[in-house]
Amino acid sequence: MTQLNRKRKSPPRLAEWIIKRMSWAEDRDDILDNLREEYKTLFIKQGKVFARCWYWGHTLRSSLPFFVSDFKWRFIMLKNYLKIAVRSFKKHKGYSLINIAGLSIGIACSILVMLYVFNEISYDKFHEKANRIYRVAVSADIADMDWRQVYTPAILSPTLVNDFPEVENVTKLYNMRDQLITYKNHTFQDNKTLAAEPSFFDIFTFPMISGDPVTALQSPNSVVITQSIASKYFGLEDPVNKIIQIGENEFKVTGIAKDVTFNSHFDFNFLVALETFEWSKSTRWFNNSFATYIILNEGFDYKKLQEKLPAFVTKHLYDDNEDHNRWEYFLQPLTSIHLNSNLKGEFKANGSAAYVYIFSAIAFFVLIIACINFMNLTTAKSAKRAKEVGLRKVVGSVKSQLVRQFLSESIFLSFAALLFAILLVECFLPYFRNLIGEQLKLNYFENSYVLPGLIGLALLVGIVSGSYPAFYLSSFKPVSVLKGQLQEGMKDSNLRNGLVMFQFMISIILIISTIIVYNQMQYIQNKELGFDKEHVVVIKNTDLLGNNTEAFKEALTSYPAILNVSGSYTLPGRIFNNWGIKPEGLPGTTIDFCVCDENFLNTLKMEMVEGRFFSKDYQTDAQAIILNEETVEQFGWDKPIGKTFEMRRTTLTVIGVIKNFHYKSLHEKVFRMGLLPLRGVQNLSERYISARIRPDNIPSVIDKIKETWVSFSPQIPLDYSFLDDDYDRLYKHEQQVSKITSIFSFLAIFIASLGLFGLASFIAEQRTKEIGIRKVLGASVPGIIQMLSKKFLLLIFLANIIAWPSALFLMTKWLNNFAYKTSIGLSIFLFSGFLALFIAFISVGYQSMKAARANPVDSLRYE
Amino acid sequence: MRILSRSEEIILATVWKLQDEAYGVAINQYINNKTGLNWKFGSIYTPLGRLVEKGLLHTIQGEPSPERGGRRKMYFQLTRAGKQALIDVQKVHSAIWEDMPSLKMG
Repeated sequence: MTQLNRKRKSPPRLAEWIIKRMSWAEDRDDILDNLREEYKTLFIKQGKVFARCWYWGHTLRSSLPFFVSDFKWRFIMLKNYLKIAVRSFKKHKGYSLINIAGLSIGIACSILVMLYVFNEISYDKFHEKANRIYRVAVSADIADMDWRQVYTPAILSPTLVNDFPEVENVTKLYNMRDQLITYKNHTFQDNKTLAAEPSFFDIFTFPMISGDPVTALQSPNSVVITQSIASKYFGLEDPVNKIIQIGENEFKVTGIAKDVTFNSHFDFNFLVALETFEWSKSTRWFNNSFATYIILNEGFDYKKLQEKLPAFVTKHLYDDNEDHNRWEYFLQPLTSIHLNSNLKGEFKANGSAAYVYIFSAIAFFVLIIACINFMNLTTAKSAKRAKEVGLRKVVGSVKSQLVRQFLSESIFLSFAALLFAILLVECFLPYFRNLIGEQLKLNYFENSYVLPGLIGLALLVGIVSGSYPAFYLSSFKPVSVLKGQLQEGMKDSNLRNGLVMFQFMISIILIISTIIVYNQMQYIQNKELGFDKEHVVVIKNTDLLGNNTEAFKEALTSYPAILNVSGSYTLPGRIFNNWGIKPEGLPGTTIDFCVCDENFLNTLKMEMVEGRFFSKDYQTDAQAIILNEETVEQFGWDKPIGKTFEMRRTTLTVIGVIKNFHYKSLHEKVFRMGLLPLRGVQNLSERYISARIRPDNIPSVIDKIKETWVSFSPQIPLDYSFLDDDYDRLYKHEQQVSKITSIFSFLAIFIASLGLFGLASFIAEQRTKEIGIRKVLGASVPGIIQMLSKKFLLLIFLANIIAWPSALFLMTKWLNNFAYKTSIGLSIFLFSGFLALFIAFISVGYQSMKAARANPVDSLRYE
Repeated sequence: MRILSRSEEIILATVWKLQDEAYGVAINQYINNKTGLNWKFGSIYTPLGRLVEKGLLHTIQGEPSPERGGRRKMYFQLTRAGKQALIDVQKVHSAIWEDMPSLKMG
């Protein structure tokens, strides 16, 4: 018989495997052989199909009842385990509660952080073609800086489609930012207006409720609005075909789209047709104002297209071989934008991949601490279960059964903890939402991953935490245990102590981090910014006042409560435009600039280093410029006053030097900056009017401002904010981190001390007899407390030693994100160390004291 | 005195009948042919094992065969006790069925 023949005449492997698992066939090879023989006979006589059916038929008939009864018994054992678990729980309510509390907090933290992480990861994934969509962005060397921005020229998109067949479609978007919308004499402000092309709906998936996505943005002066805008401003009226005014133009509503969900990197309430604007057809390659998105053919690797882009740039942007600074276009996969992009000109603030990792790590460690707790407490408690284990072994339990029993106990506990955790999550979700600033919701049933995920998490936690205790407990030797001998390793265990040390080490690192982050936040809040941001009201959109701006400012100044008023194009904390200049005697470079009036210096309480500020007295101020110290330093000018340079083909003269002020966030070093006057070389309007007010009775001052505003511009509502709030918003991320690390370190140390508390109480219980004897022999209460606590406090001390360098390393890295940072002093480490020691001492001390004060008569009674 | 159960009796009887050829497959086939009973695997092999444990049967290893991967075939034979058990059950059977009225369905 050939090998091939043989194979075909043997019974189905799976069926053989099933038979092997039955108890009557376990070690009986001959049974399988016999069966194989019968199979062969049948195969020859009646053919393959018959033989296989016969074999399977018998396998199932024999195996089914066997397995059914097997499961039945396993289930019965499971019920028994559950009963014992509940009994054990009731008997040691305190410790079981500590266990569950610790696990619940750990699980709840993980759930919340996972919500946040999934939220961040899910950005932009709702588009049907998301995996083929890329944004084209710019990376260039501008004035020795690596300049990366979203802004691309209008002509980029059509050229891409022409040059590259793999580009299936393109679209560009323009951010119109704040706009005034008027409908039927009702004016309101909106800051989510974008201008788009018809291809927008082809590339992105924004379902429309009414209107045709193909044609809605085709004709100029059309606009698509979102559902909530429709109901807010049109009520029950059908908005379609109605005319509304946006900014200076009129638009007809051609469609209603569903609201944009929160997890999109751009957002809109109004989508106007880009066709409307002549400037959108500009063919100049360096007028960068648009965001360009492309969609590639199915299966095309975007990196291949990216390789062709440098040639593309040379072909279109520059005359042949003209010398130029590096200017590149690069592609960003749509789904990577939110976490990885962070370019200049993003529509919405991006998230940060780094923070996603940080928060996940923190939650992971909190969970680990909770699991370690569980392990410690359970193994410490094992003295009480020792007799049970011994008895079970005597009656015939195999080690694997015992492992199964204790594992199932910990899994039950874990599921109980899961229920509590869900309760906690529901309670704290609103606070967490506020903290993160995103809309987070736990949909238990909508998303098909949630429930299995939660159950899986509880299972994982149960198995991880329960495995060590399970194996430990089931390894007890029945003889010694039933004799009452103490198992070696039950009193004190290196592993257990190591785990406690690990817990506290993590907690200490978290505490140190929290303090340092908090310090940095305080530093940022309080650092000398070079201007005074307190008590300054910022009125927006004042460029709409047109010629009345001066009069408006005068009117405001007339109030005694308003100390100073100034108009400017931008303000510290907002974007400063950057422009190329050619200083005399130096190579061309760029500066950030702001256009402002003559009161700017006084209103924001800035200081001049030399020279003078703008003044109405000097006609020549139209060609004047004021530089900051940084610029002058970089140019190496000792006597900057009177120096000139070129900007936009005009010669400007330096009339003064202003002290450096932080117009950007403290993440970045102060850059070259200049102040320009109104109606000067940069003819920009005063979009903001800042008013420094008296700190007392702020609401009445605001009312006065409102009155004045209404008298100048009755149709347009007043939009104002406070400068300090605006500036603080630059640090939103860090504030989140600060809050989250403080909460998590509190939780971590809470759980760790819970564990320590439980552990200490067990150790104390273990040593009751020993303590009783010591007391009889004359030991004092403090002496006994010291004896009991010594070991633990030593552990904490050791934990500190490892924690300090780790925390130092981590925090130094984080602080490097800031150009201006606070210092890390030794006192922080000492404080954290002592805090941990103190908390540990309280947890351990209470138990030690209780044990030390026990009456030796009671402890030695049953000797 | 404990009497053999039905299936035990059938199996022991088969083993006795088959003499030197009594192994799993042959036993199964004989019972099937003679009585039409189509027992599951377990119903043969479990009692066989139990009977060996009880000392009513003993096993003899046959020759190793290549078809079985070099393993030996296992044959069963009655022990003295097994033979006695059969004799007992036969006695009981004939005693009970001696003066039975007719069992025809009417």
